Amino acid sequence: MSDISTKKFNLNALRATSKNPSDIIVETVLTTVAVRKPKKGDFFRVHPDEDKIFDLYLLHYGDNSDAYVVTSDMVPHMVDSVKLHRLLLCITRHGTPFLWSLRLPNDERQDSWAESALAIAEMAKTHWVRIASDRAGNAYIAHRALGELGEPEWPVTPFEELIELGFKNRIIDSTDHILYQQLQGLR
Amino acid sequence: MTSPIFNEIWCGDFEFATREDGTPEVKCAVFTEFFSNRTLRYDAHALQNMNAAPIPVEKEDVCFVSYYSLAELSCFSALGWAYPLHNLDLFTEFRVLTNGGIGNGNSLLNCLAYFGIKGGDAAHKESMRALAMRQGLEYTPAEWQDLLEYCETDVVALIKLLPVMLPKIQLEQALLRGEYMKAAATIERNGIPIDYDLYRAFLNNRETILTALTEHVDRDYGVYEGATFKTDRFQQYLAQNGIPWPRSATTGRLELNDEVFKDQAARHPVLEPLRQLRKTRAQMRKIKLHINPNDHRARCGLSPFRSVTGRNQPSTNEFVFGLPAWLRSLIKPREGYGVAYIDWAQQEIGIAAALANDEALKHAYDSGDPYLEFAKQCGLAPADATKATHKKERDCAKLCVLAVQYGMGAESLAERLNEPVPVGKDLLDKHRRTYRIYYKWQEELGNRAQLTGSTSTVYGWTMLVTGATKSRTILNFPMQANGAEMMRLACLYGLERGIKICATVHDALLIEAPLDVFDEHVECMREAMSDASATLLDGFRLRTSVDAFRYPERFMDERGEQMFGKVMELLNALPAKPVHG
Repeated sequence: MSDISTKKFNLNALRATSKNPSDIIVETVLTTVAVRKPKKGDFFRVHPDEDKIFDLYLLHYGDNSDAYVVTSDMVPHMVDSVKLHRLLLCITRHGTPFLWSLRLPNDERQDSWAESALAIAEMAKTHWVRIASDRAGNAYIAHRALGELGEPEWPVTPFEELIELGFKNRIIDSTDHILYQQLQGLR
Repeated sequence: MTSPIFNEIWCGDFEFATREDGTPEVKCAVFTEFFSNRTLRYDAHALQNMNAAPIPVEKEDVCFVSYYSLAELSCFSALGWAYPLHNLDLFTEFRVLTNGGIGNGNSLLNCLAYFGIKGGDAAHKESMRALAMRQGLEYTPAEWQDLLEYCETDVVALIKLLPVMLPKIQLEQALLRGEYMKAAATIERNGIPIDYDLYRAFLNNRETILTALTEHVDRDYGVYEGATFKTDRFQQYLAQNGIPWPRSATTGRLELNDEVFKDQAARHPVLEPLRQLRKTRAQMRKIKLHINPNDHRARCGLSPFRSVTGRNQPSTNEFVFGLPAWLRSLIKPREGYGVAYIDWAQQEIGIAAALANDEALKHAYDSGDPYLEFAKQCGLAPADATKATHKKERDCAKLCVLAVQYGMGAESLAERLNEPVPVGKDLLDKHRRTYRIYYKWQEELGNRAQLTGSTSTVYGWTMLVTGATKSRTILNFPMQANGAEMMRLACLYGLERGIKICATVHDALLIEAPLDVFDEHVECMREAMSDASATLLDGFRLRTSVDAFRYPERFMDERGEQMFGKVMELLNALPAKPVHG
């Protein structure tokens, strides 16, 4: 039919929207971040940047061994209960971020669990790994993924905020803290 | 086109009856020019003496406005007039404004009510429509007068609607939709070539066919008692064959609608003949093809823009492609001609890849076998795998890709794979990781639709998103509705290049051409379809595949081949009514 024609239309100019609807932006907001060891079955990565590492003293308490941050001025008061840890930003294959609270080795004696964990954390900066316990060898072992699994998509939330989310309500910053008082037998 | 400026806008309406063969018999027409309010009224006798429209609609600065212009354009065509150059259809634009919302229908009266404009009396409209639908031109002078006055009320309604709707209309996109209405009118008029004698034989013997067919197919199932489908027997059959079947959450009974049957037959192909039989039994008595006994062509209203996705929605009983698959073999090119059924290959995957601009998914589509490519991309199969060397892995990847398209979860996928649930979960995870950009795009699209209350195609076909809109519907909309846009563009490209398009069927087109130029026309249409995809998807081209049937061959759908053969056998066994397949 000669009277049907697309020539009178500028079909490129007629596009209603851009292909990617990025003019409306929705961001993923994290309201909680787990502080834990990597789970046995999960492949994970450790953020390779130095500024995504934070050393701090932690107290593990309760049936679930919940981690509490002990501020530097409180450490001398609780020196028998706290241990130096390294917080590392990690992410699972499924895209869930978490903070790995990795106990740092004790300088006074050989600490193969902590040393092996540090070595695995280093490996996880460049490879997808899964962690497992080798009880006979007193150390963690790593299973490294051999396939090309691609790079992780890290959360955009600043590291400091992630730490705050990980430890909200679990900071011992004065002798008034209930946990301090319980440990000292004051309550 | 820069923003068109129209110096004349003609609002028009026709009254007509639809003949048994589906073509319009024009009774009268009224046209009013919007700016000058000049009105022209013609009865059928006056119209028959005109070889061109009495209004200057072929001019660059003139626009024709109507409501559901397919009807008006069919009248233009029946009268031998050229279509208007610029066609604005307020029906399609009312659909764009209200599609997917809680509506009360799309008639002109509904549209007027929506905008708070007083319309005519519905009962009067019905009686006048009945008058117009009367076959022939035998009317009294008073009846002619009534018809013209009634016709004019619709034009007056258009004059009131236009200024109210215009500010809400994206005019250039609306005119593109109007252009498609011209294509739809042409396709309707072209019609589908039918083996008329065979159709008559089917109609004359339908009870015999149904009885014999039921007996024949049911031998493998044993679920019929005479003409009745017995649910308890079917339940027994399912149990004996270990086929799980969905049940109603409220009554606990087996779900037996065609959607469920279709889905189940896809999972368990052994059920396909039974599904075809049920469909045949349900539809055979309602089949109503409108075939012109002179040219043996079936014509059916395409009902463009009627579905939420904007696809055509012809009546299943009046459209040969709406009938059970075996009845498609009624389509037969006339002597010296061929028909070709051309469809886009994996259209949904191609559209998703292009719109999301996901290179991995584009690569999978471009490979020609997106299932095998996904198996390679996610590590199920090595890079040098082929369909022959890694059939199992490809089948597994295919099920996963289809599961994603149908919104299936890990459990359903695992069930289809006959594997434990973690295998289904792992595959879906693999898909998610392989096509991360596509998933991100999809998530953004869902967010946008929920936040803005609507979602649109590249050329502006819109669906309103309400609290009742399912998330799956929103996420599927871009693929389906842009698929519909692609189809509309392909029709325009094909027709302007001189191809005779006879029907549109979801993501396929049926064309017809003389045998001496048949291959050339098929290639031309494939090129038009490829161009349509490239225009819509910013340069990304989708592939097409062809099923060609040259006279004396007839159309054959592999799903219906066996049943068609059986019916032909039954017909030929009838005394004194031989039919040649």
